[in-house]
Amino acid sequence: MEKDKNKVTNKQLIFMIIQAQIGVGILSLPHDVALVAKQDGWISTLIAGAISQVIILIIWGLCRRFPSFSLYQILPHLFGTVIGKFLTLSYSLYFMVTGSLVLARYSDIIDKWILPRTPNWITMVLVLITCIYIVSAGLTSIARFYVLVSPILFLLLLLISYSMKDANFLYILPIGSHNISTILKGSKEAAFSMLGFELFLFIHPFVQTSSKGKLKSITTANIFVTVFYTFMVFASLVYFETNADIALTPEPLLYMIKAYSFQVLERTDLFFLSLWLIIVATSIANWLFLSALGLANLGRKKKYTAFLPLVAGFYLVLALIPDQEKDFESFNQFLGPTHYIFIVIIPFVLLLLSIVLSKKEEVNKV
Amino acid sequence: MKLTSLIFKRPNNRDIKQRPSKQDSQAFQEVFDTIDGNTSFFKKAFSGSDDLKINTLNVRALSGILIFLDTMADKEKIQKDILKPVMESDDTHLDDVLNSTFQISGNLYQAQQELLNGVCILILNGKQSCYMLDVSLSKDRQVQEPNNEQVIQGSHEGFVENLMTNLHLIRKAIKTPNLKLEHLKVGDQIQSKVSLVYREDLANKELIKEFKRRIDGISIDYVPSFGYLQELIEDSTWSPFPQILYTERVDRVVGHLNEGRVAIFIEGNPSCLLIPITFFSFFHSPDDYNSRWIIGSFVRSLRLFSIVIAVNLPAVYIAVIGFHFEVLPDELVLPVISSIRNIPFPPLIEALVMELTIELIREAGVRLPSRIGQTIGIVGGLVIGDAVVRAGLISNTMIVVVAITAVAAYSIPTSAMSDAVRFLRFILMLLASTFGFVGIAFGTMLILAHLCRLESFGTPYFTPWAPFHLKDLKDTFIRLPIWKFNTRPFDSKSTNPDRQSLARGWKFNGKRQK
Amino acid sequence: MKRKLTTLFLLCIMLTACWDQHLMKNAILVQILSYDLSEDEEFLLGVSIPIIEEPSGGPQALVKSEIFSAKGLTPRESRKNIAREISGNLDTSKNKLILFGEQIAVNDIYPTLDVIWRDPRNSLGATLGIVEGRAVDLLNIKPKHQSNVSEYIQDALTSAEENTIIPNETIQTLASELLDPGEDIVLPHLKRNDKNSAVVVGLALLDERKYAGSLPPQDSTLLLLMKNKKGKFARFTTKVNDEEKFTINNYISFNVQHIKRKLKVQVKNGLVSVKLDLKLKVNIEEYPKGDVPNQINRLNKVLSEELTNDADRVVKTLQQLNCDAFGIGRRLMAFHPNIWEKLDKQNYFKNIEFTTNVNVDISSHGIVM
Repeated sequence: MEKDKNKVTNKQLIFMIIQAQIGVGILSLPHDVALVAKQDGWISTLIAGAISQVIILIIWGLCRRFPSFSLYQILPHLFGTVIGKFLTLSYSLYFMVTGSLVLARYSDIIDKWILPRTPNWITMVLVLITCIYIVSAGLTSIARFYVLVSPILFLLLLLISYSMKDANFLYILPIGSHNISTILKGSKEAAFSMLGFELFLFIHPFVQTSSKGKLKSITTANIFVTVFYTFMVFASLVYFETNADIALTPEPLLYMIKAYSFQVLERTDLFFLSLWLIIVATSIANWLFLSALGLANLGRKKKYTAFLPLVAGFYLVLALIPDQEKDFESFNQFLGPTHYIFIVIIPFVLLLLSIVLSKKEEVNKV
Repeated sequence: MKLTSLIFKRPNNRDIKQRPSKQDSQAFQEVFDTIDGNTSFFKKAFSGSDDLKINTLNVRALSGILIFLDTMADKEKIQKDILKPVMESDDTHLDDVLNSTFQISGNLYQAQQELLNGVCILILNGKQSCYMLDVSLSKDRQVQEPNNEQVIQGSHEGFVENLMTNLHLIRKAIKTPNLKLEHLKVGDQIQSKVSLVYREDLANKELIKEFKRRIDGISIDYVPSFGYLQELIEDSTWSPFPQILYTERVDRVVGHLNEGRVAIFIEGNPSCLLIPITFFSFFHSPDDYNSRWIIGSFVRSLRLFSIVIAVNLPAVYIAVIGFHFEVLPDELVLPVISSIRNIPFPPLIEALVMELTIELIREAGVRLPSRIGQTIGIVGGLVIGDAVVRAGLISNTMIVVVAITAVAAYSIPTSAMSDAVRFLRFILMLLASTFGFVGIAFGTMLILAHLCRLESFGTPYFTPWAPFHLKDLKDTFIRLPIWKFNTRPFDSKSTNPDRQSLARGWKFNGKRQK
Repeated sequence: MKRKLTTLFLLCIMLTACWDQHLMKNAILVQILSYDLSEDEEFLLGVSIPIIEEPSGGPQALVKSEIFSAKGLTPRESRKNIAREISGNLDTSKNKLILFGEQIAVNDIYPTLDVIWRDPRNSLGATLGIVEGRAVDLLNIKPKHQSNVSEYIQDALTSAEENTIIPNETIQTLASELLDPGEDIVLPHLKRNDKNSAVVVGLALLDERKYAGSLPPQDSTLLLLMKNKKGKFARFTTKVNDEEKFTINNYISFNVQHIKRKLKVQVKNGLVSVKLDLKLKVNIEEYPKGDVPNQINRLNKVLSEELTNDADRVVKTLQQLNCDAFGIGRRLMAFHPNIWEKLDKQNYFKNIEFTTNVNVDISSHGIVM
């Protein structure tokens, strides 16, 4: 029955991946992409989606060879205990750093938009407590929660679509005026916002379906996220003048809906932000889960929940370090290469190794 | 196994040790062959209580003693069912003489136990057994509609304090041999009778096993009411949400039994506990099924909407006037500002005062006789409400908000859920007064996360939303027509999910004939 | 134990402070902001705040307004100066109107708006307007039937919007156009009447971010129709006859019901030409001479000619003032990016060749002939 607690269905997997991918980046993505690729930013986003699909294929290929091992178990299996442990620890640390960056950016936006005078650590503690509570209940409950809050994405979509009534579609033209390398550079910006599918590496043993079914769900999730992001980028590109205006607004999506008023409420951005908080909390919960899981694997403990407060404390400390937007950039620059290493290179090397050594988990068919 | 680990953190050796003491078959005392022996046994057992009557019986060949509790037995019945037949007949064979039902036992402990149920015991000289005749005095309430769960249309039957009557009502409504009753006993020192009712062909066996295991694991001196039992067997007590549905309505229980759930009755309680249950069951009322489905759906969605209001409205109001009044449209800003301009308190205090006043009025009114209760309602509601605004202590808009919230909270048909909702709103109000909308977002998130992790006897509490079951939405937010209910809901974990294949076959037959 | 600690911790948070609380009851709402340059080149800010009078028996409070103004180096500084005069916190989050005096608008309107975009609490739903003379004077009018100036001016603007005299724009929707080099904005143009009332006198045309000139109401309507932005009504009164003695019989009034606009930007040998076709379906609202069906062809022809002439005049004015209200530059950027690169970004609009053609079609004439 203990196994039951961590069962995830195929459909839940789709939503888990979606929630992991869509996070804090959604607000600033159009700005980041448009800074580089101008009006062709949406093409960059599409390309970023395609790139992540390739990475997903690599990850899936690896997972298919080890259907009941999570990455934390594959690492010592292929590299031996010592290197495996070291890599597990570095993965755990990597997730902590990524997660705390997300946390820091989240509290920065809260600070700028709603609660300028509330100390940042308070909002961080608030979100960490919530995330600990979500994560501590086990994978099944996490999955249920993620599915439950997913309709919020459609609400966000609806709000943004409403603002399209004031869009000027001429801003998007001419299409493809920038050369490929510029667009690819934009994709690099967008790709960071797409991260999160690596969650699959760690939860795939708990998903109750064939490996083909898993690929289908994770691809569905990625396609949804790509389309969602592309729409968001597109919407802000046609709403804002693509050279001067969007460069001035770091969170274009919020700006877009700020001015709209309905019969009973104005300042729609405040509602948008409140909904967005939930989406961010799910992605922070994800990083929290992954890092705690890593530590638990390191300590050979079955329960990861004991590590949650520790990891959360670490997040808090790390997230309080960056103070200004400048710091985020240097943080980001440091993280850039590590993303490649942990998300692309290591899984790829593992895949190659397992093929070369023809190591594979024995699958006992019942 | 995880289910138990939630409640029983410690290995329960203690319970196993004590188990023998409550199984009365374990204690055995043979009937003495002397009258004195028997008499003194009972006198000792009841420590000479004054209502213990031991009469000697000497009719022709028969001589013996008649033992009963004055307070539990009906003397007319003794006269009619025992003395009269014994006197009138000349047969010495007692078994043929007594025309009412009786039991024969050789165990005095059993006899002693039965005595407490209103049985009259007849011990004949020289016989090693005693006759136990049911002459219990029954002072039962009439079967009537429960006051706290009234409906407009549909059956007006409600349970009473007598277990047998309750079971009778259920049997009468579900006439199938598949309906199974099981009697269990709980309580170490004083035993309460608990009856388990389910449909053998539908109910999940795992669930029943789990329930019995939990009942067996209970070690408590006495279970006076369903509230005790509920807390002893539910999954997580650290939750404001009720995880077992409690109802006094017969039709509600019957409906749930037919969906494969299990009903639990306790002797002396006019109520029935239903497991496993989901969050949304608490918002259903038999009225939904007896009115037209479109209207039923409308009313039901209104009720679910009312939780959102009851939990969030005061919090949102506090957040708006304390933090983000820019969300109010222009037309509203000036009226609101003119009503709150001279209020001395911050919005949180204002809201707390008013919300607590309403709770107090309710609490004061609920236990008073209905006439005084009404007076309290008028004094509390009208006088305080009006005076407080005139005195400039509380703003008009706050009164409106609090009143709407109260009405919304009381529109939830189950009082346990209504209490939970009313409690949660205070937490959200605190969060809202510190963080504004951010606080509300986090509060809501915590509540949702909590609902996602709750389980009721292995069934996810928040189904069909989390985990999501599209098919089961037919009977949550809305109620589709009855003929759409071809499958039983997933959450009851019924072993036979098919209800019917074609509820309205005549429609299709007609077509085929053409 | 853990739970207790968490609760304790949460309670601590709750009880410490409500950092961001700004209570509504302490807020002094600003409903209009006006920007002017004073004689000594200092910045003059005016605000209109509502004064709520206690309701005397009736449910609704009576709202009046009060005007404050102060000088300063920047809008923020002036605001600080005003705040010293007022009991409570000045709050611009529900601001509905931003008015510019002519002197400041002639220089640049963008710098004064910066603070509004920068502060997250500020309302982006406010309307912009340019006032003939000093804007703060417009705030000081005392209209008789509406005691709140802000409400009065807003109502006036709303009715002008409905009648297609001014566009329905907010500071948010204008932001992109203001920053776009290929498009210029038009704003409502207001004037203080002698009789203590304000009047919308048409559209103020801007060249980039500077106020350049204005258009009278009827031309404003035509311009908005040419921009394909029709409000609820678009009414014109035109002279169609010469021979009648009683002059009122010479005129016709009509309302445009449906418009169809075609805007074509063509480039030939580096020369940009624009073809603007406007098809109007109109409803005759007033024609004292009567018998419309018989004259329908003549009226169509005459009205088309008249409006085409008017349209030509409007375009000329626009070109003179270098106000690219049609966003021709944006179209060039989108469809002919190479040509745009070569053009003079400042004065390209003056050299564009316009061909306008208005076609009027009378589709109904009320319930009499």
